[in-house]
Parts: sequence; C-alpha cells; structure tokens
Amino acid sequence: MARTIVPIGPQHPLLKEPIAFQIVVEGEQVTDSTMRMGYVHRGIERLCQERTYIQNLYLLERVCGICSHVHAVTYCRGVESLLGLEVPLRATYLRALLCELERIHSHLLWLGMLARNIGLDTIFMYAWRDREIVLDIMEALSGGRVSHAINTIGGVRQDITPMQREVIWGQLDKLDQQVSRLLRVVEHERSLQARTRGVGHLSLEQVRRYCVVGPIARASGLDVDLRRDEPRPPYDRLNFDVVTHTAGDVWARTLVRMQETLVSVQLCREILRTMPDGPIAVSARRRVPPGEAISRSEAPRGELFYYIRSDGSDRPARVKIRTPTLPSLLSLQIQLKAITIADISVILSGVDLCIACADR
Amino acid sequence: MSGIPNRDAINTLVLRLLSNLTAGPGAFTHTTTDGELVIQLPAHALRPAVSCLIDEIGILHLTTITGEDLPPHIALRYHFWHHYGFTLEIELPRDRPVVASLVDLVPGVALYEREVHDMLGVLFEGHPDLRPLLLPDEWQGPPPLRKEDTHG
Amino acid sequence: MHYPNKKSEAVMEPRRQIRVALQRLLRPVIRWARRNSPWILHFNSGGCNGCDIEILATLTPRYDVERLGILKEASPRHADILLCTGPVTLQSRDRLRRTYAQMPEPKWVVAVGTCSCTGGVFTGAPTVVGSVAEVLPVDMFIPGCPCRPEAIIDGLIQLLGHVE
Repeated sequence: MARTIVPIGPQHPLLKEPIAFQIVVEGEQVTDSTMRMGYVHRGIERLCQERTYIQNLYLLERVCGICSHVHAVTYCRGVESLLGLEVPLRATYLRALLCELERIHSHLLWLGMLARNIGLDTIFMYAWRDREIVLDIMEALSGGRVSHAINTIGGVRQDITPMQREVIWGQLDKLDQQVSRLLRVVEHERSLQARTRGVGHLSLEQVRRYCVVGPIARASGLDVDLRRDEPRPPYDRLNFDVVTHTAGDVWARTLVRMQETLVSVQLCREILRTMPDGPIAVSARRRVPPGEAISRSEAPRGELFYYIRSDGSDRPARVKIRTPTLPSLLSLQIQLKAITIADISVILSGVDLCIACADR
Repeated sequence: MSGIPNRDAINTLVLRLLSNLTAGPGAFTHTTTDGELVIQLPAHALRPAVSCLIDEIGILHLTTITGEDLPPHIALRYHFWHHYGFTLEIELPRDRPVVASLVDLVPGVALYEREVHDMLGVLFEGHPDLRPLLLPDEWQGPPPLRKEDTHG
Repeated sequence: MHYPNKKSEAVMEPRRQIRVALQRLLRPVIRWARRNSPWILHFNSGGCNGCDIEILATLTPRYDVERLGILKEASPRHADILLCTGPVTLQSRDRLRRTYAQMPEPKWVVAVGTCSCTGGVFTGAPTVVGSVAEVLPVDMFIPGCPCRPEAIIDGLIQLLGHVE
C-alpha cells in the first residue's frame, strides 16, 4: 500500500496554535508520526535572566493565555521561598480561588474544542457560553477576563469585597447547574462516546514510564494530584476528591476533566466560605538572596514546575519552566500509531495541547 | 494523609540508596530553600545512580532537566519526584559537554534531553533523535542559554 | 496558426463595453457582499494563546459575530481577512507569508493583540521577529493584552467600513 504523509499544521483548523505533525498514513491507517515544535518559541527562559523579578512576573504570565495565573502563582511561590517570605493566608486563598476558576475555564474551553473538532458544534457553543460565567467572575475579581495580573511577590494585589463575594456565590450556583448539565450530556451523548471510546489508549505503565502528568495520567489510573500530594495552604485545609479513571482513552480523559470541573466548583465555594481575614500581601525586597527554589503546582493540564536560582542580585540567574504539555506531546508519539485518519482529530484534541506552554 | 512518608523519610531513603555513589569525591549534598534534596554527583555516576534508584523504587518520575551555563562548567540538574522532589546534579566541562543519555532507563526524558541539547549544546550519547526541538530551522548562532564568551 | 481567442477589434470592443457596464452595475452588489460576509482566517504566529481564545470567544453565543456575517474559515483560499495573533517568531515568519500569499485578492490583515501590533513583552527576544507589520502589510491594529472580544468586533466593523 502506498505511503502518504498527511501534514497537520502549523496552521490547521484542528490546532489553534502552531505545531507541525507529519503523519505517515498507509491507506486509512496511521503508521507513524513526527512532530516539529518551536513555532511559538520566544526564548522566555533567556528573557527572564535579563529582567528583574517583578518584571518577570508580567512576562511569565504571558507564557500561556489559558493558564496564565498558575504560572504567575508558581513563580511567585518560588521567589517568595528564596526571599523567605510567608505569604498571608488570605492571599493564598485568593490565589487558589483564581487557580480553581482557571481550571474550570480551561476544562470548559477544552470540552468546546474537542466537540468542535469532532463535529459537535452545539456542545462547543454551550460549553463556551457557560465558560463566560467563569470569565465574568474572574473579571470581577481581577479586572481581566484572561490575563489577571493579580499576583505580586508577597501576595496578591486586589482583595475581594463582601458584595463581590455574594455575587460570585450566586454565579457559582449557576455554574454548578450548567456544568452538571454538560456532564450529563457528555455522559449520555452516544456520538461523542462512539468517537472517543477506545481511542488514544495509554496504559498505566506507559503513563508512568513516559512521565505523563495531569488529567491524561489520572485517566489511566495514576493517582497523582499536586494539590493533594504537595499540600500548601490553602489546599492542606480543604477537602476535595481527586478524580481518576482506569480506561485510559480519550473518553476517560473527558470524564476526568468534566468531573474535575465539578470538584473545582465545590472547591471555589469552600474557599469563599472559609477564607480568613487578614492582609493580602507582605512587602518583598528587591534583591533576592542567593539560593535555589523549586515550586510545583497543579495546572489545569498537570504538573507545572519552576526552578529559580538566584545569585544575590535583583535579576534571576536561571528560571527553568517545565509545563505539563511537554510529556503530553511525548505521549502523542505512542498514541498516533495504529489508528485511522478519523481518530487523529480526537487524539489531538484529547491531549489538550497548549503549545505556547510547551514552546515557551 | 496516612501511608505517605514525610519529606525526611524520602530524603533519607534516597541518600541511603545512593550512599556508595555519594561517598566518593566530587559528590556534595545540599537543599533548596524548601528543603528539597540536591545531590551533586560526578558525571559518570549519573547512570548508575538512576539505575540504582529504579531498581529499588520502581519507575521513576522525571520532571525535567535544568541546564545552566556556569563557566567553566555546564550544570545539569535532573529533577525527580517520588512522593517528594529530589534533584541529581552533574557538571560537565563547557568545551566538551558529553553525557550518557537516560532515555532507555526513563523514556520520559526524551524531549528534555533534546531541549538541553538545543539550548546549551550538550551531547547526550545514546539518544536516538537529537534534532532541534525549539530553535527555528534558520538558527545560526550559539546555543541561546550559553553566556556570551567573555574575553580573557 | 489559428488562435481561437484572438478576434478582430470589431468583435472585441462591444464585448469589452458590455463587461465594463456589468462591472459598474454589480460593483455595489460586490461591495455589499464583501462588507456583509467577510470570512476570517486565524493565524497564530507565536502568541501566548490569550488573543486566540478571545477570537474564538467572538464566535460563541455571547458575542456571536456570525450575525455580522463573519465565519471562521479553515483554508486561506476561502478567507478575506487574516487575523494574526502573537509576535512573529523566526520559525513562523515564512509560514505566515505563505498563508497570506495563498489568500485571494482582495484581502486584509488585522493584527489582534499588543504582541501582534508591536511585539509586546517579547520584543528583543532572539527568536522573535516582532510585530506582524514587519512581515505583512497590516490594515488594522487592535491592541489589548489580551484583546477583548468587543474590541475585536469593533476593529472588524471599522475595517469593513473602509472596504471598497
């Protein structure tokens, strides 16, 4: 049978960010694939060395637009660790509130993209309409729908007023209703199940050997969630479930992400209810004493890792970022084999790629 | 959370497993500001250390490899995770940065070694595919994370 | 050699006059169609994805640009307006030029977001070329980090106001 190469990307309707796949196809069967990244490489790690710690905060928020807040939080935690600062508890609650809201918005975004790439445009419209509720809440808290700039080294810059709290509580009720409805639709929609069941299977051993993280790992049975496993305030005081599944296919990933969204809505409520009073920031010195700090967070796509080394000046000597999309891209090399062409869009959507995160 | 060991227990375990490798010259131990263990080893001891850890612990989770240009060396830090994080650090000579690849022991290291090769010019012997990962096709200059050579 | 298309001047002149008259008659119709049904192609040349999701948000029920006739197209050959987001990276530059070349005339380029207008926070990075204006002729700049969907719609409507 003749070998054809189907190029997907860098500009393709399936992808909202540029990445190039060359998929080797014989007839309808995919036999191999190669990947070329780097279209979004902006050299952020090198730029960080030329800017001060506070300037880097605004740069690192723009590594990715979908998970910008968790990048800023992880960076701030690393720098605060180097400075030996203890961030006020109220600030950690506010940061966590936005982290959970970001998780909800990212998963709803992903559901819309998966549905659109499969051809179920209605679910895309519903998911993104419900996502607007989350963006409204985030705008009320920080002033920005997507980019928040609410973090500073030492805490957060804006507090939440009692009136905002009441309004957000009402919005969370509405969101809970809408997300539950979406979850019911997803669970019962037979065309979605037919396209995603059994597709892109990753076993638990493959997930562990390829160091895959996030909902993809949890959908294959790996019980890892950094909010629970590396507990920092406020997560050490909050009760939540870690959602896992055993099927390991795109269907399991869909269920994991949707159920995680519901868990996040409950977490937002608990954060609002138990938020302590107090200051929202402590002041931070400009020059950071020498040392190394490692901070990890559970971003919507998995383990986000920051390594910051300071040499005593007001600029970092080295900032290393490992985003969760990188192991997902590695797992694609396993998944894009022995499938049909029709499954390519399902698999590429199922891994929830954030190429801006991966390329930095 | 019952059943999950605390950080000191993990640090002790790792140090014990690597005790014969950390006893030799060129091996140092320190911690990050949060108490994460950083074990500095000679470059030839990296593969034995990782094999030893895998034999005892099982499949290892590698988060990433941080490379840093610190003339006259290039430092490579391998960040692992087993209930808590710990780091193995090696130093390579800057003019000939060659080290054995870990891709057969930890398949998840594939993209990280490619990235360090791209950004710092380190050669990983045994890696099947060291094509550029992030740099554009037309990149002509030195690896971007290398500091500019100062005169003298 | 007999050239079938080469006819005498006596035959060509009335045909040319008919064609010119038809064009003059249809020009308002063509302008109405272009203004009321601009199809967009979205190209991310190296951005953080913030502006991209706001562009996608304009398609969703709250903002709903389809009521203005705007559809997001998959192929450059079907698109009228190229929406560029993100600073142009070295690796994306040629692909951006090629995509622009594949679009049929008349075409317009809109730079969405601060990075696309000026390079944004990534100015000076060695793998970043800069704003889209350094690579393509830009007709409309819509700043914002990220650009709000209302601003995108406003920018597109102002662009359509200049469409001939």
